[in-house]
Amino acid sequence: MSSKRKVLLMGKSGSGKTSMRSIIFANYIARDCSRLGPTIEVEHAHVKFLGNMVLHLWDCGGQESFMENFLVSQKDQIFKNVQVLIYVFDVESREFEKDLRYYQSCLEALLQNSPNAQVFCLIHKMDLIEEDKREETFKRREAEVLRYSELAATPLLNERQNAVCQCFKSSIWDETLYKAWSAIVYHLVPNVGTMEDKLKKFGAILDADEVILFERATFLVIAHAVLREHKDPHRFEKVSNIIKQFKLSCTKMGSKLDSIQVRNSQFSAFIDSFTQNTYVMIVVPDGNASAPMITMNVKNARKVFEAIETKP
Amino acid sequence: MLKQKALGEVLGQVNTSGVDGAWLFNKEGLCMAFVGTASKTVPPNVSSALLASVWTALERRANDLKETILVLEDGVIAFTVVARSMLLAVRANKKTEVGMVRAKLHTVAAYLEQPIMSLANDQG
Repeated sequence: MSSKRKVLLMGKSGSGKTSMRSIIFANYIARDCSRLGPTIEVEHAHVKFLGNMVLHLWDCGGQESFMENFLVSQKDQIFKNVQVLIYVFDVESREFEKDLRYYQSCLEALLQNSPNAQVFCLIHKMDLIEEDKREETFKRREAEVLRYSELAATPLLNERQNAVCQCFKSSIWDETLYKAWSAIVYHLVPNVGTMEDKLKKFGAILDADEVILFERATFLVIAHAVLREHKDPHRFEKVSNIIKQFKLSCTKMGSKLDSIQVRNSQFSAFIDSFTQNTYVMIVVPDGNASAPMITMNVKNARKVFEAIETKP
Repeated sequence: MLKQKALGEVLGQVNTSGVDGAWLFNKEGLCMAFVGTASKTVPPNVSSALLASVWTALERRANDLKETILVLEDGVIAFTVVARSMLLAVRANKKTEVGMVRAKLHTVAAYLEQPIMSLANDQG
C-alpha cells in the first residue's frame, strides 16, 4: 500500500475548507480562521500523519471560475489517483441546489478518474443553525446529498462502490469537526483492526474502562477500545478538542506536552505520550489507581504498538 | 505488564497477625501499590518516597544492601529489594515479632522476584 495519499478538499467558495484544514493540520484555533482569505486555485499541503503516511491535501478554491476549470481543463490532473474526496457543504447556503449540482459533477469526474476513491461529505457551519433544528436540517441535507450521489453513480453502475458516501455534520466551534475528521482518518489508517485488538487486550490487563489512541500532531482519534460503555458518545472529540488547545498553549510556553493525569473519586484518566506518532489515553474506574504502575505498563506496551505501526 | 488487582491480592496476603501494610515501589520512590490501613497523616505515596530515600542513603554507605529494618516508636517497617529495581516494604505494629515480619517480607519478595524480573526485561 502506498503511504502517500491524495486527498481532495472541495466545496463552494467560503464553505470553510481552508479553515478546517488549518485547524486540524496547522494548529490554528477557530478564532484565527477569520484571518484566512479565499483560496486561489489549488493549495497543496503535505501533512505527515502517523509518521510514515503522508497526506497530500489538495485544497481546491471554491469560486465558480476555478470550479469550471477543475471540471474541464484540469480534470485529469485534479481527479487522477485520488484516494479520498472530502466535499464540504455550507449548511446555510442559499443555493444548495447549485452546490449539489457542482458536487454531482465533481463526483462524476472522480468516478471516471479514480474509481476506488472514498467520498466523505461534510455539512459544515452547523453552529449557525439553532440547536434544536440541527438534527432535522442535517437529515434533510444528508438525504439530498445522498440522492445526488446516486445520480452521479448511476451511469457507472458496475463500478460504483465508492459513490456511497458518508455525511457528517461539522462546525469549527465545537467537537464535531474532530468527530468528522476522525472518522475520515479511521478509513485511511492501515492496521486499525490489529491496533484495536491489541488495545482491547491492553485495556483488559489494566482493568481499564477505555483505551484510546490519538495521533500525535492532530490529536485525532485513530483507534479505541471500549471495555465498558459510556453514556456520552461525543467524549472522544471533546477530549481531542480540549487537549489540542492545551497542547497549543504548552507550545506557546516553549514546552512539550508529555502526560496528563486527571482523577476524582470515581475514575482516573491518564494521557501519556506513547509511540512516536501517538498519544494514549487510559481511563480506569478507580480513583486511587497507581500512576507509576500505569506509566510502566504503557512503557511496556509501547514496543508492541511501534511494531504494528511500522509494519508496511 | 503488571496487573494492579493481582498485585494487590498478593500484597494483601501479608496483612495478618499484626502486619497492617505492604508497599511495592521503585527505587525512585514511586508507589506501585499499597495494601493495608493507610495512615491518616502520611499517604502511601509519601511514605514510599521516604522509604526509597532511606534505602538509597543506606545503599551509598553499604555495598550490596539486602534488607533494612526500621524499629520505630509505634511499629516496625522492614523493606528489601526485589528484582534489583523495586523495593518491597512491610509494616507491623510494635507487638509483632521482628522475625515474623522478616519471614513474611522475604516470602512475598521471593514470590514477586520472577514476575518483576521479566517485567524489567520487557522494558529492555
